Amino acid sequence: MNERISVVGQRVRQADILEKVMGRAVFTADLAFPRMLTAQVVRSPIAHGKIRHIDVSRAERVKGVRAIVRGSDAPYRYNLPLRDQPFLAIDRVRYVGEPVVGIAAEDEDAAREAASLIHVDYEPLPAVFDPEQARAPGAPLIHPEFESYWRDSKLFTSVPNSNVLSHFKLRKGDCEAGFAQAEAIFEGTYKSQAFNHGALEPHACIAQVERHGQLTLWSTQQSPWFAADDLAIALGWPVHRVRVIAPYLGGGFGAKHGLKAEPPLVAIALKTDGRPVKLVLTREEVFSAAGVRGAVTVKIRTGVKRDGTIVAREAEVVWDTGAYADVGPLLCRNGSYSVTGPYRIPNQKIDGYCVYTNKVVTSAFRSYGIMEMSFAYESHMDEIARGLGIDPVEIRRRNLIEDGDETATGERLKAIGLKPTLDACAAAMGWDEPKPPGRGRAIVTTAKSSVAPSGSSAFIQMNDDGTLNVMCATTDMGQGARTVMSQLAAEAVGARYEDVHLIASDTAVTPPDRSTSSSRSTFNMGNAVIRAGTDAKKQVLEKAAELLDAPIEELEVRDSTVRVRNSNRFCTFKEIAGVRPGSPYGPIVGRGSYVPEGTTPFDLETGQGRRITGFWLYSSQGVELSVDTDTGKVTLHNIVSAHDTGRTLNPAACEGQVDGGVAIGCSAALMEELVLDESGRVANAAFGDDYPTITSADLPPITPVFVEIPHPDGPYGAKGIGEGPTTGIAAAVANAVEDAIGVRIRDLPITPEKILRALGKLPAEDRP
Amino acid sequence: MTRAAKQMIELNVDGELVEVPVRPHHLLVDVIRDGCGRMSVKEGCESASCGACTVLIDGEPALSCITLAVDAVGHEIRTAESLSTSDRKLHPLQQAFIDHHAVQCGFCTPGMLLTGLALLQANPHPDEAEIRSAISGNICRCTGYVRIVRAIADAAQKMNHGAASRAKELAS
Repeated sequence: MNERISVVGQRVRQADILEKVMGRAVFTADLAFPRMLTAQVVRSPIAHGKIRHIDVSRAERVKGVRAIVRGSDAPYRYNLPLRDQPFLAIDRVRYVGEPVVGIAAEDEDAAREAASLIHVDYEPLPAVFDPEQARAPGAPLIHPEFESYWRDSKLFTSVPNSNVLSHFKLRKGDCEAGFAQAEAIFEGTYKSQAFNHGALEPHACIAQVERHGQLTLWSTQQSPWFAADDLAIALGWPVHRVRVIAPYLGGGFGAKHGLKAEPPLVAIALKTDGRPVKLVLTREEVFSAAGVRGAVTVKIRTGVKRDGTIVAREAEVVWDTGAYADVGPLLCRNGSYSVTGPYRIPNQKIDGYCVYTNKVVTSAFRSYGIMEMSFAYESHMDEIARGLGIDPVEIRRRNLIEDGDETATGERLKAIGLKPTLDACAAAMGWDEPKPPGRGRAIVTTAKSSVAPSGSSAFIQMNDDGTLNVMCATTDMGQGARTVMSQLAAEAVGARYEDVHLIASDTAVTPPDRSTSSSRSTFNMGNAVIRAGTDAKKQVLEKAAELLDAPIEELEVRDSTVRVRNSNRFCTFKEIAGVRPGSPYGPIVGRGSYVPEGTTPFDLETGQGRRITGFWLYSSQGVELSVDTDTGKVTLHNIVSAHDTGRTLNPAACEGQVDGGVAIGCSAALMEELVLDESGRVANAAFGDDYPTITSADLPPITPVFVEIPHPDGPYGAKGIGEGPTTGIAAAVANAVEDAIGVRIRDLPITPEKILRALGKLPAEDRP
Repeated sequence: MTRAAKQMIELNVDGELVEVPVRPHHLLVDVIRDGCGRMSVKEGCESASCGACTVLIDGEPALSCITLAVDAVGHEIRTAESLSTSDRKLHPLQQAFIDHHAVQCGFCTPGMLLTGLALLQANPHPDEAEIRSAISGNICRCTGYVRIVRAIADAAQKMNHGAASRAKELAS
């Protein structure tokens, strides 16, 4: 199929860039419709409590108020795979910021005024903020009615009568025997903090329930189909009654996967008599009530031989999922089995616990648990290397999985580009050269699976002018999906890149797709687009054969033109296209769908599965930094981020993913942390000094490096790239800090204060 | 709580005089979006810390999320939508953002362009550190700033080159 590649692999102009540089790109909050109302949500001020009474009488009298909605008015629950979350709190609140009452009014001033006049009477209940306390026997139950919730019990098991909503188990080999062979045993506990995605665009949503019962949502969605499914199931409606449209998306990073701002707004829209109603979250709401990267504690114990060979690992991973599940059970599963790292470990025992607390909900975050896990396993790896006196890169080389090795979950892998990324990273870092004085250096290696099972589908239709519309529900949130899908479509059909138009995600128009997440789009949707393109091309050839009076075998398609080989006869797509009256040709519509073959679920007792993902992301990342031992300030000097792309479909887009993923990783490693006060309220729910994020002034040069070990199933061999750059940076920073000044920080973020404490220049922390 | 009545004010936006009804507490970001239709001015933080709502007021970058609409009366407000009149006549900064793939989600882009423009007007020859410092109040969560910095540097060079050749033309 790809004997001649013309568009794939090129730095083509980004598909949507003109609109964006001209300030014309339309984001959800920019939309307005006739008779549109404005929504406000009254949120819980307490972390845990029963709702005794809600008084809306004064709010109802505010001029311009059109609807006031309580949980009992829309008693539905959502979340896949565990339906535990109400649209608006029913009877009980479980975190500060939980939606309790929804208001729709003619304008924002009226909605705000009404919100300020609503009085909710709560009976406070004991709140639990620490997952260790929450999973201890006798802890107050956050979901006493847990057993009544629908759940997909094929995917996870819960611990009855506890706050542990899922317990992931991995059992492999014989851990006891493994540790008995070990010549040294290392142990460590590593903590990752909670922080926010910080997508610059706050969540926004417009909902309209038309009189015939159709719900339309314009929403900041990474996963329009997932959202439509989840809402339809929650409402008890067929999915066709829920239409989700995703305009331009101002960053996602996982924050906009699944339902976030939508459920309370849908509850309101059900009561607004067909009028559209719009909700735009404030930044404070985004921080305190729209999902975070949750805190995780990892305890690892590893048995090794003197040469660094790992023989056994035990790990316990505790995930704080906050007040509701969201993706918690899946995060707990995928993260916990990844604590193996990209290493060959014959004997393993891993237990992951996903625990409810009375906190803002943990949601998906770019790297999906792997930053937390790699912070643990790659910090631990350097501690082992140091303990045994082995070079950190060398110890990784000795243990890295290679083609034919088996993963922790029992999958035999091939086309593993790990060693090439490690070698490329070490070379670009100058690892074998002496490091500049006062500097610390580190290289880490990570592997990350992508979500499975995971289907995508696409249509490609030819317009009357010979251009192509690609209908696919992959959302472009900045990662370049519109560009790459257009390249793949152009390549597969034989069209000019400029002739391809990607239709924005709309579940009424773009066919089903799991989600834009998990670095899966290029691989899964890319394959679907290629299949749709191949189907369309077949139709193009059939028509061209008729038009040119030549056998199909003699035709070649390129640049939106069909040529007869070794002749000057040709016709353009424009001539082939057409459904006009009088045209002898019908429409060209290609269709394609893709599901990675043979992916299997996990065994819930052992964590084993034959193929648990379509593909893996492999990366190695290096950091060089220095630390001011008087102030504790870390200065980053150089970062190398090496990735196995399988095949680099668009170098500029891949480099952009690396730059941005590294920046988020650095920010998480050094500065970001969501802080709760004693009442469970997010105390730093604003960008700026309270919640610093990395800026242009803090970042060093970033060198992206790509190696290409083609995946047999990937589109032109490609694997995913999106999350890879975020996976390893925090561990690399921690290891480089130890390399620079000899102190080991085992909890993120690595702040100046923690460094000074570790250096003994500040007293040890007095908090428990 | 009683709401003050709306009053008509006249704003000069991108060289156009626009009459809009506002209450005294209304912020420029909301009025310029909803009243003046300049949706390129984005609201990211409401606390003067992300730069997405940047506009130029009399040529200086200003954060419209902490500027009262009534205070902008009598001043020249400029948004990113004024940088080019058509997609064929892009501003050198816009062209540089395209050439260097300096845009991902695009939400910070209008603010970045205006901050970059103000920088280049004040300092036509910025070095990398000066560019990084100038845009340090504009958060971008997608790009790691790498390509934005490169684009601004490239635009500076091209604008200087353009200015130099125009000066040459005038001199000859």
